[in-house]
Amino acid sequence: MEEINIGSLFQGIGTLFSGGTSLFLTRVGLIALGLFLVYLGKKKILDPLLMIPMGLGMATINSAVLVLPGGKQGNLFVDPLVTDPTELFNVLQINWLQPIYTFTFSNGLIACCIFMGIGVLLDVGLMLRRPFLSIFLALFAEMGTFLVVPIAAAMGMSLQDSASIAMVGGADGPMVLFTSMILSKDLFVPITIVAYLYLGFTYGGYPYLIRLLVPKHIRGIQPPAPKKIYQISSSQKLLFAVVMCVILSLLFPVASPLFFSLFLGVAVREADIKPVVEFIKGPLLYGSTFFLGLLLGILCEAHLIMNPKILPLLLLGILALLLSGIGGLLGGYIVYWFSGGKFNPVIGIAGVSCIPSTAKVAQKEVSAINPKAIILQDALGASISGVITTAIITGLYVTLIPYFMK
Amino acid sequence: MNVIYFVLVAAVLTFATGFFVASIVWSIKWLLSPKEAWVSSTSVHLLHLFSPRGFGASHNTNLTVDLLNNELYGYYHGKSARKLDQDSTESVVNNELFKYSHGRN
Repeated sequence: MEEINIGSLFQGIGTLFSGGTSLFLTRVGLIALGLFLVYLGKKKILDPLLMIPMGLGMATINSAVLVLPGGKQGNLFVDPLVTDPTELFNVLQINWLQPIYTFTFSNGLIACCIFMGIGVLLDVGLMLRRPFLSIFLALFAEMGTFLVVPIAAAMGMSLQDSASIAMVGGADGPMVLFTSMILSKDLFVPITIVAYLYLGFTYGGYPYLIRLLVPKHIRGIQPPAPKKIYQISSSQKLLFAVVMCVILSLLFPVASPLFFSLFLGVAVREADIKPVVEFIKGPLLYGSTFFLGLLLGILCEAHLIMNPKILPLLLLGILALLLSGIGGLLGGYIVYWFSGGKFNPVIGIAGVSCIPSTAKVAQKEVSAINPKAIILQDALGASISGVITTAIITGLYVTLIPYFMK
Repeated sequence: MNVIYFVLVAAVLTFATGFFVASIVWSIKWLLSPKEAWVSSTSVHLLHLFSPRGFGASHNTNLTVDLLNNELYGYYHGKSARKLDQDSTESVVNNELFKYSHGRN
């Protein structure tokens, strides 16, 4: 009888030691990181909806490495690098998550489903109240999305990769996924993972940025009530959704799946189609987010993560979010100066479209100084505009870059 | 240089598109808002001047009230004018969205 090798009997352990020191350390590090993310999700420090499946997926995929026929190391979950149709067809019959990856993740369907869900939850009336102010703040809160492009290019990245990682500054996960999927096929997995990992930064890090850049006496300003208060009707909101969807699709057909998904959600909500609203905001949104988190975790496999481009992506991602936060506050300060000190500049940070986290952060920081000050309506208006400006930038980047590559 | 040029072009176009969007939003808001707030005294006078009842009706200053006449509105549109104000679905706190983002209320 042939001697039984422990490494081939328990292949997860065997492959851990057979791939070299760096692979060993990366796999162990990712298992630990995955478990830590589960802990952070359970403690509600990071979004549990994403972190629980992502963390467990990350820990599991780096444990479940086995030797495939042919001697190559791999797993039975997903192979994101397969492009050959025949090979893909074979892999679809073997890897259990491959159908979800191929038919929902890599074509952007999952991003569109999440956008549809966000559309259903969005109350665009908050943006319709003061459209110019909301858009102005949102445009300034895109500073990281613009400034990180030349920084990444100076670090040696291509224009496509630079634009993709800069989109993290928009703090909009589905948008980053969509942009990097079109512009950076090779890097879209790590860029998307970086984006989703960092979205928690808006909730954890932005309060410190506000405290650093806005003095206490300004932070507690209660903005004056508007002279005329209009109730925004559902008809106005529906018309807004329909017109914006058509116009933005005319301007940027490349990003029209995202525009359509977002405004379809808004339209369904405002048309009050209750069964569809319940379906989109329940099973579709939560199901899509769950599978997105799961796939992002599963894609954090050591071989993919050991790409030398990952470290710059981590640095650039956090820089993009930081610059966007500063840009938002700068926009808030401009309105503060022009209004003669009546506007609260903290509202500006809500222009970073991590809706509604940034609006909540802004209100929380203001309430800590002046419990009577209510800025949430303006903050949510800026956040909703942030979603729209990020979508515009997505459309522009995807459309413009081919011209600059010629 | 090419990258800087790209960023400048993208930024200018983003700002232009952003304000274009804002102006459309403002137009929609204006178009569907109750018009009494927008009707100036001059336009009220002109409207009366060209109304079927002629200039004599201009002494009737109840036009803005007529514009909101619930019964007339109900006759033409099949629902009360006040319904426009009542069917606003705004929620200040947007709890559901927060719950989705943070897994809690």
